[in-house]
Amino acid sequence: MAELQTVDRRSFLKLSGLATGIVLSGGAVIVGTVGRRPFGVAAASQAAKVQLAYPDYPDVVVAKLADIKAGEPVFFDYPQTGQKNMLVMIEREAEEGIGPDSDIVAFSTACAHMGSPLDNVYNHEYGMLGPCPLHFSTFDLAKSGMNVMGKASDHLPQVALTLDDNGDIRATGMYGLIYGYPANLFSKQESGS
Amino acid sequence: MTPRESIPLPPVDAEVKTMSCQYCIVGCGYKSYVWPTAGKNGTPDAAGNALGADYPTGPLSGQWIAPSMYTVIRRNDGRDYNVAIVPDRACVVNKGNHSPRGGSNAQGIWSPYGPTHDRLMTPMVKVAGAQQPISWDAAIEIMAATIGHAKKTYGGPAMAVRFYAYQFYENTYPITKFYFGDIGTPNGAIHNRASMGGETTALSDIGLETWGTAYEDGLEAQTVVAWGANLYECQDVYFAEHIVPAAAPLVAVDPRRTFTAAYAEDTVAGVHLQLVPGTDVVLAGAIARHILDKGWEDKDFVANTATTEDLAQEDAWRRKKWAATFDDYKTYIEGIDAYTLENAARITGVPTEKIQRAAELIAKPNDDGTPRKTLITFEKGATWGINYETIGSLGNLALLTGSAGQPGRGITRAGGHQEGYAGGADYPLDLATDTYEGNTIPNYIDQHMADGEVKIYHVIGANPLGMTNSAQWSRETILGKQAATPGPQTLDTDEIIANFIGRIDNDGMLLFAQDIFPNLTTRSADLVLPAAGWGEMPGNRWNGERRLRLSDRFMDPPGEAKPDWWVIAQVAQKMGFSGYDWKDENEIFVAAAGLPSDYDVTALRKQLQDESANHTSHEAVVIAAALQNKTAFDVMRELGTDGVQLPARLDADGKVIGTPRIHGSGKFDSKSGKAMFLNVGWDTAEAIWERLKPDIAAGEFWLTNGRIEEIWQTMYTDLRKPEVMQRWPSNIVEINPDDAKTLEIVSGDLISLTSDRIARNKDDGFDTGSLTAAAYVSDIVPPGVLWTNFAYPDQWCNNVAPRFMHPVNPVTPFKLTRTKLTKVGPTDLAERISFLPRNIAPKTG
Repeated sequence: MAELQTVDRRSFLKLSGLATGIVLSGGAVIVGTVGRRPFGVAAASQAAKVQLAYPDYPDVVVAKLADIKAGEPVFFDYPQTGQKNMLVMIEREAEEGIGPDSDIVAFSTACAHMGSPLDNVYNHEYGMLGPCPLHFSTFDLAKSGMNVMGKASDHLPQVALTLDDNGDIRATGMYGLIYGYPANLFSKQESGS
Repeated sequence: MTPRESIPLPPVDAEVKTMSCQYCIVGCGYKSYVWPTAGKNGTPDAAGNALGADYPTGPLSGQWIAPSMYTVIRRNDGRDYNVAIVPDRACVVNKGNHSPRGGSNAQGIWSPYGPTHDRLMTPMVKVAGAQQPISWDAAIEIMAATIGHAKKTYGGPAMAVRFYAYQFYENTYPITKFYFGDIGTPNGAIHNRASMGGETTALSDIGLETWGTAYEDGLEAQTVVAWGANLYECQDVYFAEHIVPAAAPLVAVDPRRTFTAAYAEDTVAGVHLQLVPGTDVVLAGAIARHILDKGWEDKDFVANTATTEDLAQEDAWRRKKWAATFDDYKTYIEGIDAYTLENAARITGVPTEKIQRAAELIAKPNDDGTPRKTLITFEKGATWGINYETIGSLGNLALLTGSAGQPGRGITRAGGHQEGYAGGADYPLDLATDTYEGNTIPNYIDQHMADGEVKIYHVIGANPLGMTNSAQWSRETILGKQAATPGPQTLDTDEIIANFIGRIDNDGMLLFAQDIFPNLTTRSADLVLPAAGWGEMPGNRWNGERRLRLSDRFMDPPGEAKPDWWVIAQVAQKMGFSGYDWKDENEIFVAAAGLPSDYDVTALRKQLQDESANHTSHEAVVIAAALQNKTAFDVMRELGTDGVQLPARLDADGKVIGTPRIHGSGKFDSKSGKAMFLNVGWDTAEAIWERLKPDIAAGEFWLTNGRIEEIWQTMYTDLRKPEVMQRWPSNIVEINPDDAKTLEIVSGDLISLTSDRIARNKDDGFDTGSLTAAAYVSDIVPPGVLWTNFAYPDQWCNNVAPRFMHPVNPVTPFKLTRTKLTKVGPTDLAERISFLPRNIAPKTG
């Protein structure tokens, strides 16, 4: 472990000099002992150092590209039941966006400030989530869920998505901690350690 | 940075301390949880963690620990500890709510593993341009010797001190005792303000307390006024918890259509008065005149304001010059042509119907004849304009509408830092040499430095090289005087002292900087003193409803950093001054209560059941401690995050109770106990405005400024918070889309803002200054007006702020700056940060 560097896919993309919006078959990159196939030249060059940050996340199909209509959110639970997310084509090139125009993104719908549901406040004009019904926070979905303005002290958690050749959109991981949880992959039985 | 997707929970035996937030005046309650990284974490069941929370928590729980609320520290025992700093859901101020600033309190504290690792940790002396560590003994010796020499040779005014008013009585009391008392200098200044001129002097002259209201007034008011106060961004939790729930109409007065202004019009059927910068006096005068025309004034209230006989008792010069009875005030208002609706609309740019609507919302009596309950909040859009006339005009409006001291009715500042100023000695106005019409006013210290009076500039917890007014001129002045003679060539203490005294005696100047992080001022300093920060010493201060709380110590200062009070006490004792032998912060807190040494507990116990005339008295805390055989800090710790609203009082059992609002008894701060109008307005303010305004035809813009929600002050912690720096890696300048189109500017372009017409008091000449910022194209600003963040390090907007103090009350019109604009070129910012509009409020009705 000691010589391994743990990264999420976003950091990996930046570290390896790849532009955002490139579709990675295989989702989050893994080299070495855990999980899926390595990808490409960049992975090989990092092979000694890089380990998947989220090896335990479920890898599930959450939508089909053909069913996605611009500006019409689709909801799904991820990574566990009760953790609600919104997938939407925002028609703006987005950080971590997938699809032909890199404009399909998915985010937790629990406000990163105090957990208000954001299900009904998607603003397509700006590709923005909010104003939150409770404290009016707004999040930029093209910019990895950073505050446009508002009360959250962290980004809105974003779901890592992958688009398969057959048009399946898979969720493969989560950036950031979902409101209300001490861990995204949460087990009530988990003891202190 | 890699976002965290899990946070350890504090175990039930974690150390818990009560804190008030380290940032804004709202003063939310927080709790710090500390537990060893080598120990066991808590579990997600309610019985298994220190928050007693059953995870996952639902919305509004106030029990979720966001990633930004967590860090790892190291204590002097060499061990690492987890720290979580979580909003206190039991605190009456915030009920578990938080702003983006407070939500990241933990990210601002020292961590050997985090971006805050670069704290100042040892005293340092600059030798040949590089600062090197020295011992505290050497640092204290150098300070005592040089200050002693300067005082003996040139007198007290040879010292200038620029300090803070926020981080704890226990530090400001010793600082003021030393510099205003034993040293005796009139060259004092606070934060960005280059003098000790009060920001609300006119309100005091009227007889009103600046912080006289209770937060709950926001829930009782029928109308809330936000005058030059961006409540949503800068008073987050006050607005969210104490104003929004009642949904009273909001009157927002701001040159920008901020979220607060948009909320006023789109969400709660209020009104936004989008005025030309600096015309507040005209707008307030026109509203007052309309109220008088309609007979909407609170007749009972104004009948009880000062009479001619009451005014005759007053001997302060400003009151003798401007204080007025209601009848005189009415005549005065009706005599100013600028205050007719039509003229006011022309000057301020606010349509007449909006002025009328505002007057109606502020003053039209209810159908049953009772006065409308109006809460007037104001902040730097008012204080940093044409200060004396603007604040006087707002205070007059408060009297006219009886907005003082009653539930839902009052006037208050709404912004800034928590108040931790305790005067160990009064500001020595008798030593000041600046004047207005022969009357002494506090010195404008930057000018006194330029004029050669100041030999040593001691800066404590401030960054004036960037954030004083006309900062570029001031910075050049100071750096030039530091370069008057070559600096020391060795780290030998005697040689350093001899060298520094040589500089003093050769028309030069020394800069001492005492702070927690390196910044522009510490990097330029001859001597650097590392200070203890929030959480590293216990200390008291109060919030926007005078709620005094102890913020406790939960960690050790890094390295050799020391509390500011300790540094002052060492220097003062080395110089032979007495009364600085405090053994801890509690002793200073007791001293700051100002009780005589032979106080009579029994008599005071009885006397303190009544409200003290001192609106911020904490004598009752000291007496309660004596009665209960405890320390005053013990009493404050028991009061927890709710603390006590000053003035503190005692109940029949000798327990501490608070005072929700000032002037509740109808008594005001004057000899007669009555409030008085001030006949100040556009008749004197206009000439100042004319002197400061831009020449639009020549390509100048108004450049005004303010705060961005996520950013606190000079960003001393923000610069080290990944979340803030991802959002705001550069200063920004808002530009109206019409102006942007003309100038071919898009969001993200780097812009140069330059002025060679920076107005100055001294003469009719001008200073020059400039800054860069990234364009944020938005109709939040009207054409002709630019807006930038105040105090963004190195891209300082005060480089172009006027070298100008209000002549009556020395406060700088920071908001009234003018500049030219040129495009430097594109950047990659548009790819990295959001440029979406920051003023979208929910639409209702």
